[in-house]
Amino acid sequence: MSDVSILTLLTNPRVFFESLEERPVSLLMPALFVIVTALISGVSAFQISSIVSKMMPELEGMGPLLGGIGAFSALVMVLLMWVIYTTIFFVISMVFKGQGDFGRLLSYVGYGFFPQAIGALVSLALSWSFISNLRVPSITDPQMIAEWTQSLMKDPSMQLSIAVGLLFLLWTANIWIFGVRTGRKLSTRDAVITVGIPTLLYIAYTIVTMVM
Amino acid sequence: MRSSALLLLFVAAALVTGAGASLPTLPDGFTLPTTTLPSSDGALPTSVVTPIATSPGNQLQVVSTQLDPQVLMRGDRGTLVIDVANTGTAPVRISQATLSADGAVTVEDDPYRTVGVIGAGNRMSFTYSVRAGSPDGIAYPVFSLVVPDGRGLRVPVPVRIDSTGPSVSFIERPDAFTSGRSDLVVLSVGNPRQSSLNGVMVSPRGTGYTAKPTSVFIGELPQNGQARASFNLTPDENATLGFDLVYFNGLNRHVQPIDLSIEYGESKQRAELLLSNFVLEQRGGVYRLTGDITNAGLRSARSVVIAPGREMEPADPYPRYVIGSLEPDDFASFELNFRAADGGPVPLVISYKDDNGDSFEENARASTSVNQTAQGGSASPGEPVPIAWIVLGLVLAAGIGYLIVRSWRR
Repeated sequence: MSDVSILTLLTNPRVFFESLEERPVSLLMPALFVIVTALISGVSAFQISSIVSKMMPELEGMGPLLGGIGAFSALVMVLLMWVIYTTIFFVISMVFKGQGDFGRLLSYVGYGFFPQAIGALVSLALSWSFISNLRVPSITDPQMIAEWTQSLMKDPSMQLSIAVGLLFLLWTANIWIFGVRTGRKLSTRDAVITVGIPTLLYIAYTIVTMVM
Repeated sequence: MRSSALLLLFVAAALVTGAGASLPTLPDGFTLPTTTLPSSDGALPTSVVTPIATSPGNQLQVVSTQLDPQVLMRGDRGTLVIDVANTGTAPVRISQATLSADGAVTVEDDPYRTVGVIGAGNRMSFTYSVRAGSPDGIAYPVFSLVVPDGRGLRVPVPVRIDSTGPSVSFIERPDAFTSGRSDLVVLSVGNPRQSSLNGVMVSPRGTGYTAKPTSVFIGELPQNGQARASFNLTPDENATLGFDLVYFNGLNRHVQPIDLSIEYGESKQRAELLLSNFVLEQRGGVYRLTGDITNAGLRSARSVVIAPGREMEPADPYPRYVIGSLEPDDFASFELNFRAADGGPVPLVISYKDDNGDSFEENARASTSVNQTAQGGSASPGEPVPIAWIVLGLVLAAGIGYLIVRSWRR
């Protein structure tokens, strides 16, 4: 077994995961990546949720509470997504007669969150710049709130922030392909299909939501 | 023989019923004071007898009188019930009972041309229908009982007439009506009379208006009582508007018209939205106008929305800007994006609602022209993304693309 640095994960994921095959499964490092991603996403969610309290006069003073609820929800969601992605990849790879246990695949999928953490950081900076300059109107009508929120999503800064998130998701998916290939002992083609289908569906959904 | 026996029986009967007592000897015009005997219920039918205290020497007495309604208004009909008791120890035969008109009160019937005997300790009620005329005041129709021996009873019965109607005032009404807009009108109805009124109801009357509710039923309005009636009135351009106050004094229906003068115009207390602090920028053919909107009026403006005028083509991300509620003396910032072909002041349309939900629309012009553009500053909503962010995005895309391609080469 040869030691490989964590940078190898970004530059040459194939070698990185092949080197891990010789080691026992460890969730420590993957969990660290996932938690860092979850924390950054939580901060972003805190910002967004706080806007709601500014918008509705009756929720004035509840900004920290709403922000906290939003941050906690985002944190739990990222942790769940780790398990959900792994489960989806595990189930799809069963079609291709994939071998390898769920724990090892969970570990490899967790490594894939490393680019996600970087992407979340960049998105946080972009959305911070956007939200800090935002003029929040005082609205009580739900229809007007929905209208205002839709107009926010069409703002170029918000769209750039979403595009950056998708870019890093592509990078993550690339790493997951090699992780699934190694962890479930699949051919490269099968690994691309296993990871590509759910990832492309998610990207398509995000783009449609952004454009509509 | 048979006639002798009858004569003996008559004499015996006369001795037994007389028992040494004599028939009433009150002179004409003698007035007996009203006593406070128990159970002077006005609902008592005539000839209902309630045992009362008797003593030798007493005779007929008016024990109570009752007028329904208690105080008449001009033109009202009322029912006057007079209770008479025989406080003596011998029965009294009454041949006739009459009530004579006095002053403003007329008596409408004379039902007691023959009465009969009122036993000792018994009472009898006499009911008359009276009608009030003018002027207001207290009239004293005289109640007379005629007994066969010429001695009787004459009692003046007080009947009060007060034509004072309910007092109506407007607690709230707009200083000016606007055609097609609803305004709140609140009436206060008070009863300054000395008796209660029933079935009190207020209804709008006139033409060319809609009212909600169509009428307000107050019901009983006690003496010195007060009640309110609220209406949302929406007059048309040539509306005539007033109210009818309907009430009953006893069985008598009265209608009191209440005038409401309508002055059309803009309310002095309306919301007044003023625009200021305009900044106009142009990026890529799209104008971005920011400014402040202030409510300089005395009423709240709800659901305030600002949009570019028809001459302008709205653009994302802010083709319209929703402000929401603006309280008096409150202000908010707004931002609009639009495309404009020519220069000149920027036309704006401000729409809002009042507390009643009526919509208002005002046209305004920004005191800046589309050719007076300034260069933008830092990133803010609706503004094109700064070059630095675009460069960062491209670098990230290139870097990530390179790493992905590289991972597939080895």
